[in-house]
Amino acid sequence: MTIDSASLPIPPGTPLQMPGAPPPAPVADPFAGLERANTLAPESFMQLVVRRFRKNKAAVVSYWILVFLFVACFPVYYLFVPFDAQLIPHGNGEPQKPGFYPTDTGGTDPAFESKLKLSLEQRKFKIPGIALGQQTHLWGTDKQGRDYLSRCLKGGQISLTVGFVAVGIAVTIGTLLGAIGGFFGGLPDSIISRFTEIMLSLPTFFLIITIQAVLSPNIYNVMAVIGITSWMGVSRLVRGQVLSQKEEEYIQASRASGAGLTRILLRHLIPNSIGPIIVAATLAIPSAILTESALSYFGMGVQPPTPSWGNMVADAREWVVSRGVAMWWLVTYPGMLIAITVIAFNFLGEGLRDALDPRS
Amino acid sequence: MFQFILRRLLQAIPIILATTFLAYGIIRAAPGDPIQMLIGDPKKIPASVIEDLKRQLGLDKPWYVSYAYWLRNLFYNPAQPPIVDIELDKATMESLNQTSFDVRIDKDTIVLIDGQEVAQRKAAHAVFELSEKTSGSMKRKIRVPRTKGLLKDAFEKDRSADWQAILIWVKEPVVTGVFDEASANDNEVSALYPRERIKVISFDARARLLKAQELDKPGQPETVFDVDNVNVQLRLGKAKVKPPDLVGKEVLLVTRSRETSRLFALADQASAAKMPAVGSFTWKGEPLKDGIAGLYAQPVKLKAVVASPAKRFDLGVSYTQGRPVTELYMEALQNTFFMVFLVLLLEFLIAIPIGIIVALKKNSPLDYILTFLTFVGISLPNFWLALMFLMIFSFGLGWYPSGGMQSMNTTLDWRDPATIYDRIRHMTLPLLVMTLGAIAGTMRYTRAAVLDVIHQDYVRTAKAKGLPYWRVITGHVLKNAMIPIITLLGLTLPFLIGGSYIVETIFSWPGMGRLGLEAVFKRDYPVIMAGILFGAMMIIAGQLLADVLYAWANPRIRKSFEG
Repeated sequence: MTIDSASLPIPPGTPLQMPGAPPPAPVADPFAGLERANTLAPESFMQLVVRRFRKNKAAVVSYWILVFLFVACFPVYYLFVPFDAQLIPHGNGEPQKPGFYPTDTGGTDPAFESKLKLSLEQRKFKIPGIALGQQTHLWGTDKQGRDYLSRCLKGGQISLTVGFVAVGIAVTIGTLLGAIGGFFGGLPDSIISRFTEIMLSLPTFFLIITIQAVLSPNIYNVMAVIGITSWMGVSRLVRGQVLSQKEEEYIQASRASGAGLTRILLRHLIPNSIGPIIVAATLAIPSAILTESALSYFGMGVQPPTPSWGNMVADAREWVVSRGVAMWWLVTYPGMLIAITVIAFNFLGEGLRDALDPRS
Repeated sequence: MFQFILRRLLQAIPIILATTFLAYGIIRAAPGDPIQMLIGDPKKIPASVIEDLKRQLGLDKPWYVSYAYWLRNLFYNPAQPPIVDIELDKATMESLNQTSFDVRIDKDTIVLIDGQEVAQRKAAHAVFELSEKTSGSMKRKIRVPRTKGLLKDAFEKDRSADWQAILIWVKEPVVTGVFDEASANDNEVSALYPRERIKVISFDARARLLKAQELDKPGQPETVFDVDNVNVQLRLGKAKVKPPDLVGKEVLLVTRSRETSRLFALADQASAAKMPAVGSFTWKGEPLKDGIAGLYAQPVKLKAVVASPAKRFDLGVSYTQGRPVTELYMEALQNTFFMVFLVLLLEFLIAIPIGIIVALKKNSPLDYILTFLTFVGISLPNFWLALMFLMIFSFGLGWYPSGGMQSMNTTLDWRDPATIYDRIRHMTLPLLVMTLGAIAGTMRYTRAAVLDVIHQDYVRTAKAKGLPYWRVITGHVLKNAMIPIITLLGLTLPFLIGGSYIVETIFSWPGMGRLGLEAVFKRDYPVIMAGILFGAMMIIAGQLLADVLYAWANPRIRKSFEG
C-alpha cells in the first residue's frame, strides 16, 4: 500500500504550526547572497585558491606585472620590436641618450644592414611608422649602438628562462630526493638527509662561482649549476610533507588496493604536497634570477653578445666609472627590471602561499 | 648543554670532511688549470718547466691524493727545509750602476742551486746549461773551464772577492713583502710571474713591474720605487753548510729570470733597468727563446735563516700571492669583521624596533608601506644597488670615495680623527648597501615573531589582568618574541660574511669575500679550499650558535638541558 502524500492532512515538509498562531515569517535562504548557492557542485580547491588569491591586491598586481613582462620579453620582442638586441650597428662609441634620432646613421655598413634585415624579417608584425633604420631609442642605446630597450627585453628572456629552468631542475631534484627520503625512511633517508646537510653547509654562491670558473660559463651551465645547488630547501619541504602524508588513511587504502610504490609516490604523495612545492618554487625563481644576474655581473654567467640583465649592468660599469651619472640609463634600466621581476615574484609567492595554506 | 654542543661538534666533523672533499673534487675534476692561469699561454713555456711547476704545486698527483695531503697539512704539516731571509744591500746596489760585472768562484765559495749545495763543478755545468737555454750570445760568453771547476771565463774579473756564497736560484724563490697601503687599495689585480713562481702580495705589483719593464725602452727616466719593506725568502734544500753559517755574509744571488731579479731590485729601491747580468751578458729587452730569461746576478746580504717548523692547521701557500693562506685569511677576516660587526649592529638597531612597531600596527598603512619597502629591500640586487650608489654618490656627487679602505698613504690610527673620518667615508657606501639588504629580512622576521606571540593566551591573560599596554608589550610579547630573533643572529652571521663577495669586490674592500672571489678567478686552489672550509665551518657554527642562543633565551628548553 502506498501513501499518497497529497492525501495527507498536512503535506510533509510543512513547518509545524500551532493552530491559531500567526503564519511564520518566510525563512531567509542562507545561501541567497552567494552566487554559488544555485550550483550543485561544491567549491573546488582551485576555485577556493583563486578566490583567496584575488583578495591579495599586491599578489594580483604582481601577477599582472609578470604577465606583462613575459609578454613584452617573448612575443612582443619576437613579433614587433624593430631592433635586434645582438647585432652590432657600429663599433665602440658613445651610448646614446634615450630619445629620437634622425635616420642618418643607417646604411653605413651593407653587411650589417643585410643581417639586420634578415633578422628583422623574422618579426612578422612591424609597428607602423618605425621602419628599418629609423632611430627611436626610447631607452637609449649601448656603446655599440644597440637599442637598449630591445636588449633589456632580450635580457629579460634570458634571465626569466634561466630562472624558470634552474628552479625546474631544483624542484625536480628536490622533490624526487625528498619524496624518496620521506617515503622509504631508514637508510635511504639518512643518506639523503646527510647529503642535503652537506650541500647546505657548502657556501652556495662561492660554490657556484667556483664551478662556473672551471666550467665554461654559458647559459646552460648557469641553469644547471643554479639548479643543482638550490634543491635543498625543496627536498626538506617535500620530505616533511611526505612524512606527514604517508600515514594518512588514503595512502593505506591505496596500498591495500594494491597500488605500487611508484603509483603511490607519483599519484598521491607528490600531488598532495604540490601546494607548498609551488610556493617554494615561486619564491625560488627570484633568488635564481638574482644569482644568475650576479654571476653574469662577474662575467661567469651568460656571455656577451647574448644580453642578460646581469651582464648589462656589468657592461654599464665602465660608463659609471668614467662618466658618472651622465650615462644613467645604462645601469638603471636593467637593474630596475631585475628588481621589479624579483619583487613581483616575491609578492606572487607570498600571495600563493596565503591562498594555498588552508590555515589562513 | 655541554654534551649537546659536543655532540653537534662531533656531528659537524664528517659533514665538513665530506663538504671539503666534494668541493675539492669539483674544483679539481672540472677542467680549468691553475698552471695556465699562472703562466699564461702554456705553449710558450717548455713542458719541463710546466711539469716542474706542477710538482711544486702538488698538482701532479691525482686529486684524492692531493686532497689527502691537504687534509694532513690541515692537522699536521711536517717540518720543511729552512728558509733564507735576504736583505738587499743598498750601498752595494748603488755601486752597481753598470751594465755588467763579473764574479769569481773560488775554493771557499759555497754554491747553492735551488737551495741545495752542489759541488762547484756541477754548479758550473748547471750555470752553463742554463745559459745554453737562453741565447746564443750567452752561450758564447760563458765557457766552462772544466779543468779548474770554476766559472772562470764568465766571472773573470775579481771585482767581488767578498762573495762567500753564490746562491743560484732556478725555481721557487718566494718573495713576500708589505707594500704601501695605496697598493693594497688598488683595484688592479695581477697574475704574477709564474715562471719562477715569484709571488708578491701587492695587487699592483704587476703595475710596478710593468713600469719597471718600460725602463728598458731607451730614453725612459730612471724611477725609484717606493716599496716599503720587502722580504725575499728562499727555501734551502739539503745543504751541507749549516744555514746559520751564511747569515750576515755577502752572497751573490743568481737567478734565471729577469722578473726575479727585478723583484729583488725593487726590493732594494734600485732601478730595475740597471740590473746587472752575470758575465758580460746584457739584457736587450726582448724575450728569449722558450720564454726563459737569462741569468741575472744580485748581490745580497743574508739577513737570517728561518727554519720552518712543523705546523698545525697549515692551509698551504697561495699560488698567486706566495703567502700562507692562514695569514691572508686572518688579514681579510679582520677587515670583514670590521664591516660585518657594524652591519649587524645597524641592522639589529634599525630592523628590530621597526619590525615590532609594524607588528603592533598590523594592517595599518604604516605596515603596508614598510612591508612593501622590505620586499623592495630584499629584492634589489646588491651589485646593482652598489653600482647605483657609486654612480650617484661617488662619481656623480663626489661625496664618497669609490672604493678601498683608506685613502692613499693613510693608515687608520685611532688617535687621529682625520684617519677615522677617512675610514668612515670609505665605509659608508658598502655599509649602506649591506645594511639595506640585511634590514629587510630581519624586519620581516621580527614582525612575524611578534605577530606569532601577540595572539597567545598568556598575552590575553596579561591584558585581562589589567596590565598597562607597555608592560604587556615589553614584559610578555617582546620577551617571547626575542627568542627567535636571537636565533637569527647565529644564522645571519655566516651569510653576512659569505654574502659580502659582491659588495666587497665592487667597493674593493680587502675582505674575505674579495679574497675568495679573486682566488676563484685565478684558480688559487689553496685559497679556494680555505674559503670553502671556512664557509662551511661558519655555517655550521652559526647553526650551533643559533641553537645555543635559542636554548639560552628560552627557559623551557634550557630547563630540559639542565635535566
